[in-house]
Amino acid sequence: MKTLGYQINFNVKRVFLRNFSYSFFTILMPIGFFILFTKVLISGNNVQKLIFAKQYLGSMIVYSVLINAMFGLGQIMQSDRQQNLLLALSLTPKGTKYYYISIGIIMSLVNMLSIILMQIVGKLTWNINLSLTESVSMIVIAILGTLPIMGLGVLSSFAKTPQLTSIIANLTVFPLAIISGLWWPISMMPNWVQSIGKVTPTYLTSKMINLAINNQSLPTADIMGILIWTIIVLVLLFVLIKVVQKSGELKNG
Amino acid sequence: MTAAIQLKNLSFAYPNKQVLNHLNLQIQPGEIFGLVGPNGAGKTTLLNLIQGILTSHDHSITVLGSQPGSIIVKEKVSTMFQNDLQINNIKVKEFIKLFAAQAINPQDPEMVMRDLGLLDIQNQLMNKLSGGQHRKVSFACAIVSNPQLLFLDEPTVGMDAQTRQNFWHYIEKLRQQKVTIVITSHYLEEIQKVADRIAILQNGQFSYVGTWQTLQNHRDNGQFTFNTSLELSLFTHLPAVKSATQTETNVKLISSDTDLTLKALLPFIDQLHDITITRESLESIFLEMTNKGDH
Repeated sequence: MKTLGYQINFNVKRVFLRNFSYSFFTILMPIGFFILFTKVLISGNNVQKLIFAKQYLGSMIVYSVLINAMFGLGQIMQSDRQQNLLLALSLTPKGTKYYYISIGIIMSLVNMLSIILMQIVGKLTWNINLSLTESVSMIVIAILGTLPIMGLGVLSSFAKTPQLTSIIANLTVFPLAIISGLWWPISMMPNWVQSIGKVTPTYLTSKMINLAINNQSLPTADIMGILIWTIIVLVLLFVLIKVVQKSGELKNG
Repeated sequence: MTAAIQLKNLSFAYPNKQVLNHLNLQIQPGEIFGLVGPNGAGKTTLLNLIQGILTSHDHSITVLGSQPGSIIVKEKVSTMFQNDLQINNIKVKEFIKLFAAQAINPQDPEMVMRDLGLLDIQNQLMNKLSGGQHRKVSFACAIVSNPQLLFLDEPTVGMDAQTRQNFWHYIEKLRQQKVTIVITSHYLEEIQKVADRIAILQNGQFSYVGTWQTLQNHRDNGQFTFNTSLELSLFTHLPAVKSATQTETNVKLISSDTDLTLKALLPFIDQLHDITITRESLESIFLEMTNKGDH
């Protein structure tokens, strides 16, 4: 436990507390987008605006987690691998397991913080009132629903160079955000784009958060969709780890 | 007594290249062992195999009586890598404490920092350090786990003269504590001073394993340097002279029999100034051996 405690302390300082750009892009930017698109660049009557703000709250929560996974998790792990921190830890008796657990805990805490802050901003700007159950449901759906996205972040960390990880992140985040309707309503897209967008994990999670905000039950098909995405990403991750271990670049923790 | 490191007929190949060929070696506990060789000789591959970073499936390596990469080995072995870890937003003391937290029986990180003169920079961020300071921090991370076997890969690169001297002083302290140390370095004079034995690795094979003195005695080479206005060609064919080089008025001769060459130089003695005769350095032996091996 002491080792895990130290790892968490070590990683929180370098990843979050002393890294303003990370906090800015992961937490502050989605909040800024929410305020901009629901308070400034918006038209319609108040009821329509409130409906849009509620929907956009879910979208920006998912967007925040997406940014955290691809630009945060992916790049931190790629850099640690590139700098041989993971190799150095793997040669110690306690190995890399505490590193991975601590990164997982920190990423989840950052996601939770982002979701809670977004809920507070929703309350302050649009008076979106969420009961404790609704608020907790949103957190649980956002964390579980974005597991495949976090897995994508880990997958991108296996790129050979930081530049490649960055390219993968850019090519994943922005197209995914657009086609899954995180930036503007998916109904504005052509039908063929909508049919792709509606099976993405980001769309499914965002939709389930919106249902939770409106106190509606979650469709089994959407839950199954997230489950299938999680399995696909886990299988890809497993295969990639085996390939990299075989090449001698990665040691068992 | 169990050897600290034992290689028995170790061979290793990458998919398209044979790197190591039938290596045999025993390094005793408490020994300081220098591993030298030209670039591409296989030093890094050998160290990676011994540390368990690469895997050899033929059980030809034992480290402290166990397989490389086993938990027992990880508890007792530590490494100072050639490339320093460049971790952003972390202070020196936090980084050293991370490696203490990963160890089973660590030293007090504060004590290690004091011994290595790192207390002044303990609150500096890692990404603000100079090259020499980085090497010292990497060394601190390697020894804070209290290892019985320590690998040092190019440990003094980037260190200034004073830091380098302190570093070797600390290595002597570890020698007294019977820590086994394997060092690779391009500064051969440092290896010559500190290592009990050396191995010269060339094209995946050891071309020499033994003490530096034995290698020197066996070759009995000596080096003459002097200043003269005479032509270099006068010296190239003197008895026992193996090589002669000139930089402006300074001449350097390598002789396989210093007595014989000295006698042959006597007729010119009035025109030779600032004469020095030294035993051949590890560096010149190394260069001669590795050049021969390359051709």
